[in-house]
Amino acid sequence: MKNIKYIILLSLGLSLSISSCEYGDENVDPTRQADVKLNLILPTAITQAAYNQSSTAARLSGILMQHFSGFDAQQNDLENYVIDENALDNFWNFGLYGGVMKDAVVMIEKGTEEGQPYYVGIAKILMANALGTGTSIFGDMPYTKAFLGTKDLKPAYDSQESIYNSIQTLLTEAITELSKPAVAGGPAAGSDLIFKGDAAKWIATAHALKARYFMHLQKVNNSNASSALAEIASAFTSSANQPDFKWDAASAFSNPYALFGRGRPNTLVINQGFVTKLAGDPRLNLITDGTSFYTTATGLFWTKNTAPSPIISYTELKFIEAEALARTSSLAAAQTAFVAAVQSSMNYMGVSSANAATYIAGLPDLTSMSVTGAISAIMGESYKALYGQAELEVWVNYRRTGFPALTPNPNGVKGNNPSGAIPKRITYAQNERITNAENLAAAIANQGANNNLDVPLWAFK
Amino acid sequence: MKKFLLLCFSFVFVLSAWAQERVVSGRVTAADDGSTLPGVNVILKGTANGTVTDVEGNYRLNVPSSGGTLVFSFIGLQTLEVAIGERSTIDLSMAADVRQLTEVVVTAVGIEQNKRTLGYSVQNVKADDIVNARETNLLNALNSKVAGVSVVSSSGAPGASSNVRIRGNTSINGSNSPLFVVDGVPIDNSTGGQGNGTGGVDNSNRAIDINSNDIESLTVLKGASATVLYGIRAANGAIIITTKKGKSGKPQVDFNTTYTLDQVNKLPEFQMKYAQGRPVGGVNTWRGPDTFEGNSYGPAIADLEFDGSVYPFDKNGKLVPKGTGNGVPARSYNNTEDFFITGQTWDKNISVSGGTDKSTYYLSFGNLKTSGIIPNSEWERTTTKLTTDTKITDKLTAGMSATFSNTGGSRLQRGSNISGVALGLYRNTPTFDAGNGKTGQEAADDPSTYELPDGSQRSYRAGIYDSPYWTVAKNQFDDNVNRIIGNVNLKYEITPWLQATYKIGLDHYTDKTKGFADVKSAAFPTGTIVNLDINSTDINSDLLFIVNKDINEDLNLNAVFGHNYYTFDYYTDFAQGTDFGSPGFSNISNAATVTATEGWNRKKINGVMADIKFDYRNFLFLNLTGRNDWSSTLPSDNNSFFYPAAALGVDVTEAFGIGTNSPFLSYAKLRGSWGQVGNDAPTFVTRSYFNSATAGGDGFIAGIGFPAFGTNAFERSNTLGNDKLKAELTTTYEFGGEFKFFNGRLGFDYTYYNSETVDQIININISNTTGFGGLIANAGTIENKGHELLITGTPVKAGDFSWNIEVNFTKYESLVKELAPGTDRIFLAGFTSASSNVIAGKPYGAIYGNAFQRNDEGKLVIGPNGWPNVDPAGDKYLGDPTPDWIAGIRNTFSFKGLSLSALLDIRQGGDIWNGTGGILNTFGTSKKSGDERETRGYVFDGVLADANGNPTEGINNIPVDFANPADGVAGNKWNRYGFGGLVEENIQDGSWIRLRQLTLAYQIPPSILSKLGISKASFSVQGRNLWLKTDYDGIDPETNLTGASNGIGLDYFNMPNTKSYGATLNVTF
Repeated sequence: MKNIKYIILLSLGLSLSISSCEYGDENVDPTRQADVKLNLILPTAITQAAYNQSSTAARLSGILMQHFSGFDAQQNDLENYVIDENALDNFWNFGLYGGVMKDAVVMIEKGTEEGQPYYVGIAKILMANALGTGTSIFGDMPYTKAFLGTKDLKPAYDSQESIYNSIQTLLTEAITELSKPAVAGGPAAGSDLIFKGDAAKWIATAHALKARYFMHLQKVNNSNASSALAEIASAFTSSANQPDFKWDAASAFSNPYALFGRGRPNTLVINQGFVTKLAGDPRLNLITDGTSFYTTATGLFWTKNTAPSPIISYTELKFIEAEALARTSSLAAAQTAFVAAVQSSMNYMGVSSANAATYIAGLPDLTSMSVTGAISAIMGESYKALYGQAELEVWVNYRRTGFPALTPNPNGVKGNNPSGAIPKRITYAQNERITNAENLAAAIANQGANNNLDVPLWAFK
Repeated sequence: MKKFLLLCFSFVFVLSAWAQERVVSGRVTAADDGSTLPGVNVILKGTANGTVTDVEGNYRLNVPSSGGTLVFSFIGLQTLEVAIGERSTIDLSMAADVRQLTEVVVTAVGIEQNKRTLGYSVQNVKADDIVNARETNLLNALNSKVAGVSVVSSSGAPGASSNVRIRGNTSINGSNSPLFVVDGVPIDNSTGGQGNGTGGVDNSNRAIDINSNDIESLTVLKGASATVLYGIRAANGAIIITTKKGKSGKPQVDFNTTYTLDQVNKLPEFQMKYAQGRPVGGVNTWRGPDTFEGNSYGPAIADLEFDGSVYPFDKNGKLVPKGTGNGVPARSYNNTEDFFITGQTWDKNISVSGGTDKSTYYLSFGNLKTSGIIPNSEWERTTTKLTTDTKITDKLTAGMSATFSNTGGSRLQRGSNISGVALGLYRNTPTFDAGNGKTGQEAADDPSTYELPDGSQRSYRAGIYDSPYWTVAKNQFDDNVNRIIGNVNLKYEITPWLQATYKIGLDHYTDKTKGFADVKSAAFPTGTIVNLDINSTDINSDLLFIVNKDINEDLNLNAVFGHNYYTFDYYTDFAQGTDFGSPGFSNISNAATVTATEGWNRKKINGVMADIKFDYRNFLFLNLTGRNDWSSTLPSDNNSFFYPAAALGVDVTEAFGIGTNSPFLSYAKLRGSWGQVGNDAPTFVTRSYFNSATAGGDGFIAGIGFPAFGTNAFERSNTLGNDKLKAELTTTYEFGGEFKFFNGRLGFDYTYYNSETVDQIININISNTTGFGGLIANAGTIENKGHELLITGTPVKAGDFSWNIEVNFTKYESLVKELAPGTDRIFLAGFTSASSNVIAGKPYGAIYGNAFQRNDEGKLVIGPNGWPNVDPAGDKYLGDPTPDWIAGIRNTFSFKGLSLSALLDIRQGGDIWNGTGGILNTFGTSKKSGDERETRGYVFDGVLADANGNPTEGINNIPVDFANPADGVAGNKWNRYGFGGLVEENIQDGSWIRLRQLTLAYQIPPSILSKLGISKASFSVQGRNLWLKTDYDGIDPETNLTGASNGIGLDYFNMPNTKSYGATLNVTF
């Protein structure tokens, strides 16, 4: 009888112990969602595009273009053209493909399914911009075979020519989407961090980007300069309407230049040659204290916490116009755009109108120059004006036109840069070599005899 | 204290008051030589009434007027029960227990078995061997004591984690750490919290919460056959800890205390010859802290003097060329040696134990407080434990055990982190006095050391890196863990051959960590605070039925059938605040911007198991086991998996009737086993998710984490989930033997094992151009094989003197046979430059990095300027961080109460990336860069490259200068290949020989103690790491940047290790 009591007790223990092997939602992560709405993806896509504009690729371009000097540690390596497959590995993996491009693909897919043309349109603009950024650094890129997940684990690379075609197609499609009537649930002010859901402004931006990427191919075919001009006609007509991303005063959400200036103090400084070039320029004191590229959270125009990152600026657009006009039309027309470009830069940076006027009065007169001379003068000014906002475009312009004349670092002769020239491309990401080696090798072979930094890209040859 | 404790427990004995009416006495002697035996326990059976024999072997005990049985017991001797009858004198002799040749081990699910009957390899570590190591971290006490076990501590910082591996690494993304089981309850040994990435602080692995003094025995279960009953969590072996319990008898009070001094044991070597600065216009020029520059490629210090000007960074002024200043010569400062202090550890433990024949108890309290070799670093552990067992009826026993521990301390920043102590210290130029005239703790306590009057930092680069004194004074990191580990258990004897047990165990802890960087810190000039609260709960329930039945007179059956249920919940609350209002105030309310996240990780496992053992005529042992698990982390239609094991053991000596007294071979056993262990998936990988978004991809700065700009945002996870996953499977076979010769004076225990893990669940690295960076899949095969040898010997045993040797030898290799189709490399830890990886065809943890270009003969390919070219093919395999073999050799000499024990620890091979050394060369503070920088006209041995960089036949004849001022800093040997140089240049052999442990102990003779009312007392002095020989030119090569992670072999401004000297007093009342 006594034993029965214990057997009951044990059975109770047994029932306590044995429980179901069906676990229901136990393995569903309670901290993450399986899906989210489009308006919750758009903010990070836009932020990533702006972050790409002002972070690692911009610093590298700025060092090569002698806006900055890599003063210490890894930045000093870039200064000396010690540049390998690690230089932009993170940028490729998490800034471009795993960053804004992935977000854009998801938005295009979801937006198409859900009948949300504006999300699709903005996503296509962001994708085109990311491809333009990538191809002007690396050349050939995976795109038509990319983003297929397990369907193609080793995407082949598209040629640079094909990438530029894709960029134009994407932008054309974006304009079509953004021209459709608005539907309920479209991008609201809170999620479209640049234009607060204003489709017309995005359309103008798409035209501006079309102009930029046509101009990238000016050297391939001068007719692209005419195409650029045609697009500028439909682009935005003032800085107020340009796609500015505005960073926050809080340091965690500040402009990446400010993050870098604080987090990696004094590894990057202003290039003294650039300071010399800016002598007498009213923007000098807004750009540097003479040695630093960053001073404080509220200090310099392009590197303070709230410094904007324009995806493309009116200033840049006017310089594109000036160059295109100089190459296809008259230097007189070019002169107007040239002055407007400089004026725009001055206005945007808050230079007093008197100081701006004085500076502009001292600008060279393009009409008295050869076309080459005019291009050189335009590039000389765009070199100053695009500082801090479009470093990559400065490098593109330099490779395309050879202006402004810069002296390569004498320590820049390296095994993968035997000519010692200012690098003309950046080595592809290490992760690509590890995960997609055959296609990468084909892409490298498609572009030159070797994987060196002094191999010019097709577009800028 | 003793009286107080006795008072506390006297109630236990009220129940055991007994009528005492007569006295029985006698003498106990040894059967083999007739010598008297002191210390033998003599107990009246069924009571708490007992005594121990005195030095002459005599005892006296009051017993009831009639009947009764005396129980005589002593470790290593056969226990005897003698009915008293009418006798008043009982003399007897006690014989050695034949089983003394082997040992009782605790195997899976807490079952005690004779090691002789096992078909697989296990190894016991005695409690004394653990306690005598006097290590704060239990894991370190296992170092070089167990064949097949390797332990690497991440650093010598107080409370730093250690990385323990049984038979090496096999899992790629999962844990490679063995399962820790305390009294049958698996516990958490994770290294959570903040840090132990490539930056941050050295965290603790949670087994550090265990107080070694509570341990009765520790058994290491190595292979699959041994661990199958613990299921998947023991896939990497198991460390089975049995804690102390009370024994029937009067209360025994044990007290011990240890005081230890710690010092830094090895530092990199620095140059003391050249000043801060660099070539300017072709001339080596002093460039002081106000230039923010970090190079020590300035002029020779001997060529400089002070100018006496007012200079905030140096009270003597700036440095100028000799003859142009005030004549006070420039000098160098040994900043690194001046920084480290002597750490102290004070460990105090007291326990009371005892019981009646019906119930026993063990109660302990321990406190260990340690201050590190770095100013302001400290760590403390306080534990209290109660274990009781009560016989409720003859058949039902109930027990409980609970340990409460409070651990934590103040830790300091390390690694790749510009607030890291070592980083700011080792890079410091020799001409800057970091301590400003003071050293160590005194300098850390004086703000004028690290702060200028204007509030900015006083450091050799004016705050580009935090001054190490600033870091220890201002960038605090604190953690505080409260933990309870306990169980309640019931044992019921259903029939004499069938027993049921139920045990429910809990391991619950909260870990509150707070990281802080004050305003004007290098990395966070506006200040940052990081609060992370962890709340972890593991519950484990075991129901077992144990059968022990003689089937016939030749065959015995011993079987266990059981069910196990395990659940795990791990919550985290994380908040980071930046932009402080008030400097120095470390509360989140001080931050203008706060971001917060909330985490919850969870899983459940159900398992059923069977373990059947046949014992044929006490020489043939067959063991069959199997377990089926149902894990919540696998897809629900595929979450069940079964894995079996079989083991066979043959006692050859017993089989052939060779007696234990045989003069040559005393014991021989052969064993072989085969077993499998499954493993489940990481949590939440059966599907894809949208993660809280971060816009990043820079590598040098943080990303922008959402919510931000007034909105939330999410993005599709970079990892593609998989709902087709199945369990991983590791198959191990092993064989070996155990042999004892010359009456046990010489013994060998050898094991060969081979294990292969297939279908590993890994996050396969795929091209981000696919839209995903990782793909969860079953892939990859890793083979792990090795040899383990344990040799024990007693070369000399003469009278009271004995000399014992114990040698542990371990050799294993973990080879990655294949990875997923098309993927040949998975990153484990490190940097984009140097990393620890899993690569098909290479050893586990392979170090990869960039290297020099070489021709087919391996010669350097030299560029047109005379300098070797970098391999354009990208980075490559450079080193194997796993040692070729490791060995521990312990010699113990005993004479009467005196014993001297020395543990030598040898590690052969095992590459380490000395990332620290490379950076110190770049900055010019290393001794190497000081010694070699005057080298001129050096011609590298190699072949010349053609215009395309391809090797030619031409022999290089172009001379180069290592550091010609005309070339600038960027042109010198240690800067031209980039920051820290090529990884290849900094791969070094991590071999060592060290005196791991040296202990001199003295047992105070009982004759003295008995007068003091003390039953046992000993005093010992011990040293740890007193001697180290290694070619590694950084810190002690026993180090790992990423702590207890899977990534190994990386040293990047790791905290140095320590050597220590201590003294211990043990007293038993």
